[in-house]
Amino acid sequence: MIQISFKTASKRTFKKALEAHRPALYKIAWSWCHDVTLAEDLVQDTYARALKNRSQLKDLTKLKPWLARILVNLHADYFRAKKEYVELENKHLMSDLDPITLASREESIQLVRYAISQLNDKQRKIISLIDIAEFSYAEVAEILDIPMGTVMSRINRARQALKEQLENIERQQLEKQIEKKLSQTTPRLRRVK
Amino acid sequence: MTFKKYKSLSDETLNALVDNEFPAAERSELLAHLQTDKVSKERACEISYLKDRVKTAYSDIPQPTSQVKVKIAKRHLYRMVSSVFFALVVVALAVVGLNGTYNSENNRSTTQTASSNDSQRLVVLDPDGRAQNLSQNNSEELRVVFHVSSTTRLSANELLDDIEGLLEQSIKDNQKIRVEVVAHAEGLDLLRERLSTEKPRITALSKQYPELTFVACLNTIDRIKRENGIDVKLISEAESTQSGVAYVVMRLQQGWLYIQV
Repeated sequence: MIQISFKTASKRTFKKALEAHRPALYKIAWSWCHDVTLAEDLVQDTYARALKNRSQLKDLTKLKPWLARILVNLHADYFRAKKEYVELENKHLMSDLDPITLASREESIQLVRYAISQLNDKQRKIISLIDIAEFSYAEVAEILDIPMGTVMSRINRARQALKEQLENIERQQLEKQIEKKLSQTTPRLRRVK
Repeated sequence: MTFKKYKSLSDETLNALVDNEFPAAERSELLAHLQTDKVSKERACEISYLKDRVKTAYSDIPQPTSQVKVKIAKRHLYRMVSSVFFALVVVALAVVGLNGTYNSENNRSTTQTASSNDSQRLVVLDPDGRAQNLSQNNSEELRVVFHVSSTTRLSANELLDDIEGLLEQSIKDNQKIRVEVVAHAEGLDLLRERLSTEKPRITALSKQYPELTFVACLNTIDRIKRENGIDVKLISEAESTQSGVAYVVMRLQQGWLYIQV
């Protein structure tokens, strides 16, 4: 008899463990696409695949990085299937973000989100995995399937790029504000007889 | 993680420090170093500030509404129902085909009897441990058709692992075997020159095991050409058939073991 069996943990235990990671996973997905529907869809697909392939996970304590790795692959598959990587990505990211009209209370938050949306995919992913999902460098190396040294150099470059983006946007905003103020305060010339 | 004692710390080291990647002893040493290195200290503060801003920016994000959840749930349900429906159609066709074959064989020769006790019985379990299709192989040769209708890097790799394992085991047991991998719809990516993530492995496996055949669906290739204007190029190991589904049905009628991927 040839038997292909995939049982490791009981399905109920596994599902419970999955649910515990749902908010974190959704946050990662959302930080990549800034789109509620797409993020939820990616998380749902991640769950479906995780359930299907749960036998591959030998250690339940490594569930979160394992799920993140599935999410990374699904995200790449999604854009590869669409074959509209740049256009679609920009459309999703730009839809509700306008740096010039940002309200003051949410300004900093929106500014950072906008700046992150302007990074390339690799930079955005590594920042979200380390800063938002709080994975260690070793876990990120496993999730993205890259050497540890690459993780170190990539996070460094990503943060530098993010810093430059933020500075550019903030400078643009400042110039706009000054321009606006000047146009309001400059006295109109009066003809004197 | 270790760091070299330079006068000024590298950006990578500072990032790792902010990300708490160093063991406690080294971390303390580095923090002490920063007290005497103003440039590095300033840079570390910048990184830390940036990290905090990112964390704050994503601490409260828009959550999916119930409408979105229902929409996605419906889509997943639709996918599931479609695959179940497809599986039922394939099984139904196979049963009809097998009955036809059995009846016609009986008509040809009344001396022939089915000897199910002697045949090898194969049980394939899905991830939930449920048996899928029970297949009986009356010939000495074990014949398995893998039906690939969607694939990703992860599942393609897993599929090839399973196939390799099966071939290895069979050869070891002196069991004659034939394995065919039929790819259609999204599964065709496995055999596409430009998109296949497993090309080197498929080449190696095909060379090593002449019993293994990869078959691509021409209908899918035509559809891609028609809808997207893309001329699909297959990897050199791939053979082709007009309809992948019809091919799988034919194999089922011939008594092959069916595994859906």
